Amino acid sequence: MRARSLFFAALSAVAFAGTAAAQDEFQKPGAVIQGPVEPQNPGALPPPSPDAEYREIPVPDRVRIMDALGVPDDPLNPYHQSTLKGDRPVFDDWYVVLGAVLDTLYEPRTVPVPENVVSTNRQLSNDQFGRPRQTFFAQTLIPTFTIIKGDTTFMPPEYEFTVTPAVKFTHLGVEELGIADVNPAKGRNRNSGFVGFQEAFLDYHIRNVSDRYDFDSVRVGIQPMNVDFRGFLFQDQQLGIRFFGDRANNRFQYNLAYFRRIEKDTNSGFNDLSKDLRRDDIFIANLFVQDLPVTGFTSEFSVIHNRNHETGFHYDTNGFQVRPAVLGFDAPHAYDVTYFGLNGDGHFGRLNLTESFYYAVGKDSVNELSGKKADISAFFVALEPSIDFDWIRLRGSFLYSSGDDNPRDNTETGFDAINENPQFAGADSSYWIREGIPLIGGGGVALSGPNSLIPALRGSKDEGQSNFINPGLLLIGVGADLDILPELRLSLNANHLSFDSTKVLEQLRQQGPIRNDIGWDMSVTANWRPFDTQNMIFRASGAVLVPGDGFKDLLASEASDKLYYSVVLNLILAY
Amino acid sequence: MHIKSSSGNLFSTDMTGGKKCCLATALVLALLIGAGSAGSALAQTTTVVASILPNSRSVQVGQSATAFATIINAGSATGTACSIAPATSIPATFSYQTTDPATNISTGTANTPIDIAPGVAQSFVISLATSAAFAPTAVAFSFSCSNAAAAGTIAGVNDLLLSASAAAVPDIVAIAATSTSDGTVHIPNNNGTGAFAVATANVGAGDAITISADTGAVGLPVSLTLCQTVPATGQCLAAPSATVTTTVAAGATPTFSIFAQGSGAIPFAPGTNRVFVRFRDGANAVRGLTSVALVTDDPTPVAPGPVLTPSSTLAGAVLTPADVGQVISQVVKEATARGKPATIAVVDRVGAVLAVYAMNGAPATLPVEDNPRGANATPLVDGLNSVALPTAAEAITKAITAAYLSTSNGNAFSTRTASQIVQDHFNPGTMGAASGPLFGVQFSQLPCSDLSVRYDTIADTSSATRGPHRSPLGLAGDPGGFPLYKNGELVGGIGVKAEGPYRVDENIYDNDHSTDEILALAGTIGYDTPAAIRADTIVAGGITLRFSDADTSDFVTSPATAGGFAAIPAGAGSLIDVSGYYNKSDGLRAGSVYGSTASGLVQDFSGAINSSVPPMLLVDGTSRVRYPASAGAGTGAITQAETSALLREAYASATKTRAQIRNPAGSVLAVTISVVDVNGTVLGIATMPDAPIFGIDVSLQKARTALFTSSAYGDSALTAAGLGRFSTAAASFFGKPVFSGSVAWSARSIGNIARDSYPDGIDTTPNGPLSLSRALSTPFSNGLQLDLVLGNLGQHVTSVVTGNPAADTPAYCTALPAPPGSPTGRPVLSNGLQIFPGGFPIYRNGVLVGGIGISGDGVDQDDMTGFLGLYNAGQGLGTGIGEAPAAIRSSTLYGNGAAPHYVNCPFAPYVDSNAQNLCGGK
Repeated sequence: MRARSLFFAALSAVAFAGTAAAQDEFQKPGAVIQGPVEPQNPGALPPPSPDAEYREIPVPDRVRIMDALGVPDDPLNPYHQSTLKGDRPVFDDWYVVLGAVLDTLYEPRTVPVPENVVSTNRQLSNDQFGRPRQTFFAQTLIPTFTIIKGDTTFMPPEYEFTVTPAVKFTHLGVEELGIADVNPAKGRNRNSGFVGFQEAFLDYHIRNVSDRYDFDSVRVGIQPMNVDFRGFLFQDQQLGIRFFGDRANNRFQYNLAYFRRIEKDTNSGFNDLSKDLRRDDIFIANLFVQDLPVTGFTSEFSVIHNRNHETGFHYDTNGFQVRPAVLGFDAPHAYDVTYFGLNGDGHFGRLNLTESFYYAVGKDSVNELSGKKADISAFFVALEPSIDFDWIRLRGSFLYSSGDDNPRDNTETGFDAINENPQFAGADSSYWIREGIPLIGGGGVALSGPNSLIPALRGSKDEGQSNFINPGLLLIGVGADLDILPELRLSLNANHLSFDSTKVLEQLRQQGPIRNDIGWDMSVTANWRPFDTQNMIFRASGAVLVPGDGFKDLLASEASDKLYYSVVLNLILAY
Repeated sequence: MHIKSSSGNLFSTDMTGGKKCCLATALVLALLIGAGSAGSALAQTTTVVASILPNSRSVQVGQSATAFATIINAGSATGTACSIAPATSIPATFSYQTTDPATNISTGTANTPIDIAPGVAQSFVISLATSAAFAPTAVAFSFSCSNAAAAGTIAGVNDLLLSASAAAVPDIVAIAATSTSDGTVHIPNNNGTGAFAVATANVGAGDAITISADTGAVGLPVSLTLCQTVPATGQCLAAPSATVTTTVAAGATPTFSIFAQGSGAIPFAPGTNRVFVRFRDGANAVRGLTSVALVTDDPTPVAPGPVLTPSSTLAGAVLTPADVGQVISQVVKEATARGKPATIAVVDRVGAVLAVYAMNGAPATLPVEDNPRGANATPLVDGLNSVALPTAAEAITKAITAAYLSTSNGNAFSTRTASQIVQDHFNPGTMGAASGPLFGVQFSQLPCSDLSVRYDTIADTSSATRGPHRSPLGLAGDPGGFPLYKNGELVGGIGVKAEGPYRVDENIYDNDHSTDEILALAGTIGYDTPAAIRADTIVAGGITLRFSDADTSDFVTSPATAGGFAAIPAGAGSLIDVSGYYNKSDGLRAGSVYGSTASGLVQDFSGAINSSVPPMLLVDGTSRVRYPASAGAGTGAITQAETSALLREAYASATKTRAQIRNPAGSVLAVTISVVDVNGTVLGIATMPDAPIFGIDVSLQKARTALFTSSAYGDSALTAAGLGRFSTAAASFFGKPVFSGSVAWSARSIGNIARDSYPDGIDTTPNGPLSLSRALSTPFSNGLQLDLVLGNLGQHVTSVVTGNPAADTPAYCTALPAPPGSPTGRPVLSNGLQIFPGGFPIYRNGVLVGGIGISGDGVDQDDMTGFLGLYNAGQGLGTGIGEAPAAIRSSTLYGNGAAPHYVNCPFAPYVDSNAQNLCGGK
């Protein structure tokens, strides 16, 4: 959002000013203090003498300098000074920032789907697996309205009100019945529109705690939150209260937050305020420390507690049961789980590294396969080393999410996130991450939800509960980002995926043995920014999943199951 | 349509001691439905049948001869202006008048035609005032309505042998009673012996009377003998012989038994194949006559099956009398401590009842739960809901359910498991999900099933042990039925009924603390279910099955220390008789070893069907195969070779198919395969070792269901049985008649349209045409499936309640007419309709010739085994045998925006390959 970038621009401006002005005071511990820096700019004009005479010309204020220079306010051009973009106050030091994003998505794909169990639309279609082709189209408009009070250039704003409604129209076309809607008589297409609120918050700058504008703030309302660098555990726009701030010239940043989740509209994924809030609470405490263990690497320590007491039945917009998941005992259950996280992002010399580690511990009132209460003990680790060679970045990806190899015992060892949105290993260009794959014949759950890595066997990623009896995942991959042109980036990814343990799948499907190999997920993405800006981005990606033995043991398609593909054509226009 | 010869009151006996008024009412209604009522009067014409009792009178000239007549309106429209007139010219004046069948007192006005509602049996008294002497003459009558053709005359059924003499002569009024109370004597296995009784009253003068029996104008392969009997005991006074001569004084009431020893197949043809008992006076004039229909139980003229030798190493676990007593004692101890007197039934694996024990104070009846949706609109559409049933029958049903649904090596199911899989959603109480996979299985193992063995040691001593036995109420979803195991082997089941309604568990997410279940669990201590195969470790469609809410922590006693049967305190209760199931005089009985001749299932090592997994075959008491692979009847019928191929191919597919309900995951399934010909006659049955017993009857139901609904006579048969409303509803739903031969129906598709919502599971949509509406439909009242057999169930429950085996339902279900030209004369659905997947019609070059049915594992597995068995057999045979033509399959029909599925084969179907999608395009 424009509002956030303004905010961070202000912070970095402050930080820069501080470094330049008082270098020794803020010298990093252990660093050798160098002598005065010699200008390295031969041929440049010398700076004016301190004794030179100045002629003072009064101007109204800094934001109207451009007026004086004859550059008019242009509300339609975000790169001109614009009152609508918070460049000039509308009153006193109150600013307005407007933004809008228009996102158009067209996605042809193939996904294993079940032949509907009670009705058919084709003669001689006599098996469990139906035809896999689907077409998905989404048109999204996200306007943002922000009001800010404060001298935004030099310090964090004192107040910020932001409201971001979002409008989405989606169309899904499939080849089988009972996919678009639980009622097979409703056919193979679904059109759906929804208006949700993705942001609606008040941000109050409580205080500054240092001359460098280290601060404490509080933000209340529907707000974005991401608890780690890559969206592995919880990234969402949810209702909550968050205290945050920094210390020591922004070298320490903290968050203390509480969220109570809003129900999502099924087909848009947007917040649906017409429904009661979920009985699902998230408590977050984290601390980011810069330059730990080495300069250029930021480490995050976090403790996140998820308390879910959703013991009723919930059905999604299309009539499918999502809570509890149709899985095993299908029994409403509550769980309390605490995640201890150690995440990091930065570089060791030339080697870039992002890492994530979580350990989940807690209690589940019903293990859906044993029918008894159980402990939760699971872990997750992800590593992404990369190295840059001029315009080429080479990446490696490793991820392990623990599975449950004895799902009927009293410890659930399958790791599941709260609401993942992983930016990893190809992210939403990857077939496995992008597509929701149903566990046909194993209950009303997804083997892997949309925009997720973990084969969590949830009833729904957005609306379902976490599930700690799952097969887990091992991902090993390589990738490359190629900045072919300043405007054009090409990303290539190849990941090999396998389950950690298929025991839970064998029990759910009353099938055995099921092998571990999910297969190869390969994708290519082109990002084209014709104007070198974020105002127009065209993205095209294609991904294939070449099923491995384990995937073939589980799923197939009526027409062909040689491979599954996902093509994404996406145009994003932003104001 | 069998013809009732009685016009008297069926319900004059006190039956229950408890809620007898309600029970009687409900049963009357049930019987009426069974006889075919409650249809909307769409058609303008109707059909009537008639009977006369007694069938002979001999009077003096000037006297009137009277008899009772009954006209049954078997059609779906009200019969208007129905009347009776003599069709034979005799010197007598005829009159008729309606009577109250409860009292036999005249009602209405003499000689006045009357309207008869559909399904109603109207009784009359007829009178012939003689004016001149004439020799014994068979007087025929015209029983007709203005909108119905006259009922056909059947000698010995609705004619009257009448004479008028100058002097007083003997006038023997004779009434025959058969054990099945359907006016038919059944000869077991073609060569067994059937019997019936004749009671007489001489209302004329005394004389020496010679009694003889014959088959009238037709020669039948039967040898008839008779004896005079002691009226109180039915014992013969002398060895049976061809004739008996005895002096019958005026007013005397001698009784007789007639024995029919079969020597060949006798089809069911009640109009012609009958036994007549004639009473001749000293002048050799017939002064009394009665008759019954005669049929052999295996009426298809097939070669006798081979005799199988049970494996010499057969050493299965078995319930001993001591075990049975121990189980009962454990329940009694816990029940006594709780103050919940219970009725306890123990059965063996093949359903033989080993003991029924009623504690003092145990309720004699407990009602079926009310419709939980509260609809209860009229009793007519409420089926069994709210009907009081004998607790002994409930307990037996629960014990049989657990024994029949469980296996030794794969799965152990309880009645609670059954409850979970027969309701409108799977899981019950959720929305959107389709119905339970075994929706409808509660109406299998029916007491009228022609397949199931009846406990009738007079007709067949082997029937005491030999299974598969019938169940009094089908299968139960009422918690409180568990399987019994010894050394890890299934040996039987226990059922307990102590309190509360006979119900299903509508909320599986709570613990309902069922007393019945806690008590039954107490009985299983020491006979525990192996944990590795318990239902709650088995997942179907991703959903774990339930086994028990009760656990050992619920006990207030230590059942294991109860001691044996002898340790039960005096006065706690006693063994009780349950007509048709158990005689307390037998004491505690031993179960039979599964696989022994006594169990009725013997393994066939001949390799004729399969040599790697030798099948179990149903045998009679001499170990002779009951249903050897046979040829069907009629032109173009399935040949013996084709039956063998169908059994072999389906069996071969089954032996590598992954089980849905057996542990460990990846096991091979165990199912039963049945093949029938175009008349529904069994051509062969093969069941895999350790297959659950319930699948034997159900596989036959499925084969017949697919056949019946795909046949040209489906619609007309339903209409004739008074169930035309379902035929009409289906035609309206799909825009054309769909049970008239133009549509090939699989059992899956029939199930689709026999659900309380269509598409199945979508609560907001209307019900399928074979179902009741969603508000009315329950597992105890689900539309056509129950209505077809409600009359049979009513008869059966009456016989259990009254302890009168003679009142029992006949050994075939439904009031449907037999297919035209059927040599058996039996309804196709002789063991009831089934409405879950696994049955397919068999075609030869597009012509319907039979059906195949599979049952015993997951419904998709059943489906595939039948579908591929038929397909593969057809491919191999090359005789035109195969699947229904695609163009006429039920999946071509659209109703309410959706087409039903014809077949749905499972994912990852075979254990020996990772092939998928084996059925598509076939």
